[in-house]
Amino acid sequence: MPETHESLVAKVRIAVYGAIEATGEAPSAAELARDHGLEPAAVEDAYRALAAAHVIVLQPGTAEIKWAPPFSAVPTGFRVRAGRSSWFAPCAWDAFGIPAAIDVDARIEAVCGWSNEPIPCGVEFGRAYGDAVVHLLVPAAHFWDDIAYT
Amino acid sequence: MTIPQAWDLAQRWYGTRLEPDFRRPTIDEAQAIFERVGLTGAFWRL
Repeated sequence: MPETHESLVAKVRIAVYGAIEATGEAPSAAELARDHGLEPAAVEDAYRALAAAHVIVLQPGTAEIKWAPPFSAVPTGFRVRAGRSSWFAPCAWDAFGIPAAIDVDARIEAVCGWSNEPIPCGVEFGRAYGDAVVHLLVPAAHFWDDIAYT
Repeated sequence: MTIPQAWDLAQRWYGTRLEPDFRRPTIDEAQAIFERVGLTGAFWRL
């Protein structure tokens, strides 16, 4: 069956998430194209389609992945550790999204946005622990107006 | 939101993100997820 745009985008999404889960780093379009026998331009198009669909976030003006939520390809104040692996998350919600997405227990390293005190929290035996409160700055209807700010 | 709410929301939001047949929730589905987790009121209205 010939590859459709939809199936290519799905293939690229799965490859991006597989790579970032395994390494904590998002592949460039060229790397992903090389590793999966695809055309770099087609992978760039797929990255842009995934960004337009609000599945991933690109660095402004590029086809470089900044976030593949719940993972961040760039360092942030939310670090998630499971076993020997660690990842960055764009925000507190996404920090819990990583153990949810890959079905593991995890320790989350975060600091309070006001006091800068460490906030111990995470997931153990499938249950969340920690007594902090997660604050979001932007109402839900406007999350994607400026997702980096949200 | 509280930590248990964040975990509940994260599981509902991201639990299928790495699955082959993942698709983003529609607005109605997303609203239903927020409500299920107890995130209601104007702030959470899509």
